[in-house]
Amino acid sequence: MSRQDELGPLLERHSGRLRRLCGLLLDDGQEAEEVVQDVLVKALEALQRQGPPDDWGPWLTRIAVNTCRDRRRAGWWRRFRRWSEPIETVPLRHADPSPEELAIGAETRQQIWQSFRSLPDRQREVFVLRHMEGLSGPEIAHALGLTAGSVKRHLFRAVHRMRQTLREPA
Amino acid sequence: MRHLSERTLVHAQAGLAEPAERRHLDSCLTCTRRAQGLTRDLTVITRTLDGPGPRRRPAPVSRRWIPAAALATATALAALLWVEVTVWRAVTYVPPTMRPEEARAMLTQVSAALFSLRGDATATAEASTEAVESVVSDDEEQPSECTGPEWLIGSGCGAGAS
Repeated sequence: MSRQDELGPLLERHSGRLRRLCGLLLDDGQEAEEVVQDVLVKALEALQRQGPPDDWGPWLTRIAVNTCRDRRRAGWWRRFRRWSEPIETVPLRHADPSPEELAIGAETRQQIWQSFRSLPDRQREVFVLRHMEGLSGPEIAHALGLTAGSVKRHLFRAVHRMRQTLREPA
Repeated sequence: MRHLSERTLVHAQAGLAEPAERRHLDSCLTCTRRAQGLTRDLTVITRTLDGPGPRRRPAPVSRRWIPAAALATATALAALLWVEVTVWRAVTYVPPTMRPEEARAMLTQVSAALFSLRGDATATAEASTEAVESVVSDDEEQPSECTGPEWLIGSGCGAGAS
């Protein structure tokens, strides 16, 4: 079994998770898709150059977070032009709301998303890695190149800000 | 008994609390309830973020042109400044309005008038006036060789031209 063959199922297993992670960090589905492709290319290159890493999960996460950060820094003009949503991503009919959506309420969801989008990049990364990806503190620190203290500080600020949204009247 | 702060609860919920803080959380009913409230809030937040986000408002067409318009304005200003500084000054001849001797005499006269005490400097001022007049009369005595508007485009003409 060649290295590229072993990469296939691995990437299949991680691509959905990476797509969601990049989608949350970039707030742009199309760009998230491009970043996932970049991550897969980098994974293939690394596999050919230095062999498989000890643990693919954190390694892919770290590459994805860094690639998203590079995108955010470099692609402001492209995102600005693309601000108007591409027509293919606009649903043709309104999908039925899920039970969670029904329970939470449209106004609250709107506020949560608004608050999440207004988080600084670092806080957003730490929040997503902890509460959406389930990484531990040391894993987050390793993935983002931060100290444990910084991770705690960013996490508290992000959670505090997001909770304030829930307490504010809709 | 001192309860845990919100910061410590967030850390405990994320598995980042110190052992002593964890012990307190396990034994304190109030802090346990607060931790449960935090977990409930985070569940709502993560469920929401797990679903599709609401559509962002597309930027109005006028706002999309703001960077382009700003760039065009900055370029136009830079070009204007360049024309003013480099081109305009290079092609425009500015004739000298006052020679150094005249300027020196005038400044002497002004300073004498300004710093004189009860008219003591009158003589000096008068002498300066004479000096200015002599310089001006010297100029008038020298016949100008300019017959047309050459002084506008050249570096001057006649004996006084440099």
